[in-house]
Amino acid sequence: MRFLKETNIDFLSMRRFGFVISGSFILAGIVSLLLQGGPLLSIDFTGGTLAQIRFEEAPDIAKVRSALEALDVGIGEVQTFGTPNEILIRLQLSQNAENLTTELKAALQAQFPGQSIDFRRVETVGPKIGSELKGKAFFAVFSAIIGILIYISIRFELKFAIGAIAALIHDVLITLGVFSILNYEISLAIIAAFLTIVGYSLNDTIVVFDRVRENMKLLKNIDSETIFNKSINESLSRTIITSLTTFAVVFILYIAGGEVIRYFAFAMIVGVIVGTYSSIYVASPVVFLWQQRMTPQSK
Amino acid sequence: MIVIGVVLLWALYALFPTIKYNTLSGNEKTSMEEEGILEQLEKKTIRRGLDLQGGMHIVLEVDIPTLVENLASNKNNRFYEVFDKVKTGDEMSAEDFINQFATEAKSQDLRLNRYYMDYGSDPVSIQAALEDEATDAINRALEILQNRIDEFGVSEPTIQKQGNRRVIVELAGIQDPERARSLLQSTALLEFALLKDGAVTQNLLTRVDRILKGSDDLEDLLETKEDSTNEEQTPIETETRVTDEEEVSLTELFGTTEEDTTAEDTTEVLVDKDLFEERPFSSLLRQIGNDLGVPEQNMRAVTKIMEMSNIQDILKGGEGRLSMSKEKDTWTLPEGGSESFYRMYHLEAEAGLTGGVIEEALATLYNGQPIVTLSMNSEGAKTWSRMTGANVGRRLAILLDGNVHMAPVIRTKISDGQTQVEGFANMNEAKDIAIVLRAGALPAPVDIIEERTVGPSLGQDSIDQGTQSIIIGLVLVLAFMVFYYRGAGLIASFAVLWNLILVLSILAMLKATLTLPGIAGLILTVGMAVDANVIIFERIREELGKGKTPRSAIDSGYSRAITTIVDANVTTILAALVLMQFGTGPIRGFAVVLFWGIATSMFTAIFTTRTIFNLISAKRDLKTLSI
Repeated sequence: MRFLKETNIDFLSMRRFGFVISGSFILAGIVSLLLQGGPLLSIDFTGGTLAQIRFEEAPDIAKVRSALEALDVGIGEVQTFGTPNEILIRLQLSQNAENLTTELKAALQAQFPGQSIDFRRVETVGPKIGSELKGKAFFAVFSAIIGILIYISIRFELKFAIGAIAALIHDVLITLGVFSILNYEISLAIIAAFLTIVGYSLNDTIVVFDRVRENMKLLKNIDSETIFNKSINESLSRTIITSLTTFAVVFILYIAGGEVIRYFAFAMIVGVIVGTYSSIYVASPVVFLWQQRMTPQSK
Repeated sequence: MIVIGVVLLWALYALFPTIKYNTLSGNEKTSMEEEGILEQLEKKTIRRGLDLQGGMHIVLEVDIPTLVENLASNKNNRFYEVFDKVKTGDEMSAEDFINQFATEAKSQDLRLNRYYMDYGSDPVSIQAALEDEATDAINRALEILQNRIDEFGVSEPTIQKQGNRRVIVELAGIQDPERARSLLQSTALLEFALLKDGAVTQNLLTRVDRILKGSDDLEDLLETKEDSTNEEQTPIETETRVTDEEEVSLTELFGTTEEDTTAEDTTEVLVDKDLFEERPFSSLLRQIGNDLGVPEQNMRAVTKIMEMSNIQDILKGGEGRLSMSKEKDTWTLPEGGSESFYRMYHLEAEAGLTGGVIEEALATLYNGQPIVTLSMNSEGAKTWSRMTGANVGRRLAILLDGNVHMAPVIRTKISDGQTQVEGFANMNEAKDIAIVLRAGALPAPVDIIEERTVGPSLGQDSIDQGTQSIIIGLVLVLAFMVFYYRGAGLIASFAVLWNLILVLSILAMLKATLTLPGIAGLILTVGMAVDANVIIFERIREELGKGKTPRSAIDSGYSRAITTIVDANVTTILAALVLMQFGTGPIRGFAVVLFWGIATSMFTAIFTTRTIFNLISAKRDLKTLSI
């Protein structure tokens, strides 16, 4: 069977519409980022302590908070995590973090006598490591983009590289914006998701570009708008099928993969949707416009 | 065909251990474990990461500033002026401490050879020597940590150096993070130091009192205190408090004590007000027999005072040091009731003997008390014999990591290099101390700068949920492929499964670790592995649409799709490679899976499914292709 027979959609003429949509999403994200003073960073980058604790029965969050306050370990944040029985405590870095787990355990046990309290995960990151990771994460995303730019410039032409980079910056910006709007934390795992989105978005983009390159060789006398449209249409059913299967698996990961990788899966879901969209509505139009602007000058 | 055959054979070979291990039943595994073959087989299968099996990931940093401080001799205030300045600056920056210290010393005209005469005569060679010491310290720390962990008995621990100052330790299946932490962090610095004479101690206390009395800090503190005494008529406070007009609370002065949250009646530091004004330090102490005692409630205040910079100056200026006992004691108050206290000892600044001379350390029970018996090497025994011989009648403190374990009177000269240490909370502690003493002292303290602990229950949940996700994802994707591409979909399904197994076996061969993000990577691989096939199938359909025969449609479909597949996947591979460089632990696990997932999916689509297509189309003269 087949979803799409020979399609002939004029994607390029819809580019303004696409730019408006993309622009408003990016703008909303940037406004949110500005209002919150940058992305919400997890303890991986800020330093601090994160504890995932399971109680026998759903605990009263207020009581957990008062136990934390009595400990005097700095500003804390308490929320339920997945099931009502499980909570996540985030603490800013504190001086007496050394025996934090022990003290926290004792304090919670005192607040909830008779309950068995299971510390399922405790992560403590020192401030030095945090700021180092911040630098490293930035460097990683940056060098991935540079590497890809170089590769595409070699395999294709520079204009394609610019289109691809525009698409992937678009994707990362939107995902970052969505995280900011929803007040989700950026952790190490989310950075990994970003890099995967970068790779995935390009994967889609390049399949289209490959077709464009091929058609440009085959159909020398046809204007580039038609070539772009033809190429997008020809690769459309592949784009949709791959996006669907990838979307399906990350969606399953989101609902069934467990609380710990839920945010990672969420970032991937956003990335797959945005990445698919951008390969059609961002990457190709940018290359097309770039070409339009450059061609008259060279003539 | 030959190439494909070889590759297929290689793939089968790669698959073999994983399949074998995974098809083993529980009983077979037990019997193999007894024969010792299981371990061999396990080595060839995929290791589970700490986030899946539970365990501890710790990053330790060797405290270079303290090393530099310890190496210096004849330290005086001038030295600490420079040293403390650089040390405060070093807290946040990853810059090399020794370099900064040397630069600062130069700019402040501090002559390093005064303090490091054994390490060279000019600043340049001293700096080089200190750098060497630092490198050596990290390598020794690595070795010592290795020894400690080996003796502690953890299966397959990972201990590796990271950069110039750090050591990463991964301990699987740790049940007691607290114990592991102290085992790693304990510098195991064993010291034997003589106690100062009682009169000298009295002098020191008087001096401290005098400094504190005139100090502005204290006047501020006193004001706060009077205010709060007047205001504090709230019922909650008076309930737990022995109110006395002449007695004042020190809680406000020195912040709440740690006991605040747990203990009920001991929250207030009680001290005579007039006495406190007159003798701010010694009034916090008790005379208990021949020893000085610090009541538990006063510990925080006493520690605070001892940390004050002008007090530190006196102590560092050669007045010896004040150390606390490790265990607290109780005594009966003259007016009834009892009080817990720590003992405080005034010791000679330099230890007469340190733990480097220990050859053997054993934890045993003596009269029901856990003790550690020590035997020293010949050099140590000599010094020990001289030290005990010359000081018969004096008291000597045995310290571990700065805490006094015991302070007996030297009765007689000990010449056999034997001694024992008591004062442990329980046998486990004595055992751990014996381990660290045997393994040797760390050349410098190590700080835990990152620690991630995952309990076994969460790990199991992650495995269950991960496996479930993979299975659901796999079923969904395969069903879709068969539904959409019919016969060719079956081939693609085979390719996806084959791909998954191939990735797992590569991980096994590489001895890579499967982490939770790694599982996510596998799931992603399932979704993305079809991509190469989809590109090929869509091409073949297109070629068929142009009226080509199945045979030539397959040929041209494949040849045209290959460039697209390679170009498209190289970018994701690039991203995965960057991630491998950048990430540690779980993130690296994800990158490794992603990398191999994409690499094998390209290989599978280009070679393996091609072979199947070729077999099908060669068998009979194909009129139609199920695609």
